Amino acid sequence: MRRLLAGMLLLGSLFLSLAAAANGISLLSCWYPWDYDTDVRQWNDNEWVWAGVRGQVEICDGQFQRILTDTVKHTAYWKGVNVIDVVKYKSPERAITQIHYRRTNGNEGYATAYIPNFYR
Amino acid sequence: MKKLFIFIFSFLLLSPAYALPSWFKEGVYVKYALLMPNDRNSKEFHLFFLHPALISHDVYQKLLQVNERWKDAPEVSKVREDKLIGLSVYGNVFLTFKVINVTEESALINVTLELYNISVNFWRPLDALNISTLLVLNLTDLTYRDENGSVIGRPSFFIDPQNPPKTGDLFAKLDIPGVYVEDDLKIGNISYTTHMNQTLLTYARNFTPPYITVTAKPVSMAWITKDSSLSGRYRFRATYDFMSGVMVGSLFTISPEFLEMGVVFTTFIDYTATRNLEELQKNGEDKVKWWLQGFNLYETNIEFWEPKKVEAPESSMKYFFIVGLFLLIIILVKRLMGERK
Repeated sequence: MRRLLAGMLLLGSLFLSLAAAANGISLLSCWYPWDYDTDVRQWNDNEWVWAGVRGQVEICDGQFQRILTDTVKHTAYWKGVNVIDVVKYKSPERAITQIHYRRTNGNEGYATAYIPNFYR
Repeated sequence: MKKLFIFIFSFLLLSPAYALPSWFKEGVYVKYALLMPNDRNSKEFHLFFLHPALISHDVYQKLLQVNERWKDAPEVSKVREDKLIGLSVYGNVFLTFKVINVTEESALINVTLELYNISVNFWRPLDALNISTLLVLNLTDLTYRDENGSVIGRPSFFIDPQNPPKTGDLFAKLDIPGVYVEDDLKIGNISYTTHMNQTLLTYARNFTPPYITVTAKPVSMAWITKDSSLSGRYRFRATYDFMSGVMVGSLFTISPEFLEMGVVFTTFIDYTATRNLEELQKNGEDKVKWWLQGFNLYETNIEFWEPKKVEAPESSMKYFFIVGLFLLIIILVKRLMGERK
């Protein structure tokens, strides 16, 4: 009798846990962490470029859903280089800050930061 | 004599103000490339923004198919008709211009952009995408015309070296739905001294100075919707071979041809050329050699004029000179002998 009871309890708890697991999938648990990215190009103390972007992202059950575009901030700093352009892009799927620079030796390049970066 | 005079006169009358370069013929093509190196890092990619209303139906359909293929990609990364389509490109890019039909007044120019290893809206992989367009080039003033005959821009892939564009000339009409700009893209600076002591290296051949470098006056742009935006500057710079007028290389965020294809903003750099340039600088060869960092010439069927070593033609005149020299020496010696006597 005791064995039967223990067996039924075990079986019951198994069903319960299965039901809970199934429930968990349908019940979306979302959170809104801050994501950020930077790209720093530094050749010496007086010659560098710093591109950054940050914003809140929506993560539901560990899956990236979207960027909350109202929270997106682009940052661009530089010293000793000629900046040709700062390109800023944001959309629910991607936000980018890109600095197009030309160094004194004539070389051109981009410093690029984008999110989602950590929460992909 | 009279006939010859009439011939020369009629030739002068018929020749247009803009002399076409001698290579500009039906079937001629020039292909430019951005080659992605094997050691590409995570920050090395190109961005191409397509306007859903301006791209061809075929291209839009191909991009819509990508929506169905990647079910696990976030819903917000679907291709939609009310937002720009962002492509990040991790592979090679080719840009080809082909002259396909030349008449007295106009020529048809076929432009093709090939992109490889793409991510559509940054989440949906696509192996390759081909975008092409056909432009009508008016040959009397070297401008692109739309179906109404209005000027929409000038070709980016060549200039007439004898009659290069002038500061203030229209380069590209920036009439893009939803995109705010202050002005059209106009020709800014024209330089004959940029890279004047450097051989320009490309994937196809080496170019020797002088060059003509054309830069457009930058124009700020912004594209804004409810939950997305893009801002930057429309820029264009290209270096042309002085002899042929063919573009050696260029770096831009817009060109008249890209606009016609529906590409309304782009940022790219040739990372292979950049590595080659850094190698030249490391070896101290950058004083005499240079790699341009944008699209570089990759392949063409234009036969360039090559400088050749010129040798004097073989002739018997040299024997006359030698005999004459001998005679002079004999006369000189005789005179000197005579003076002594």
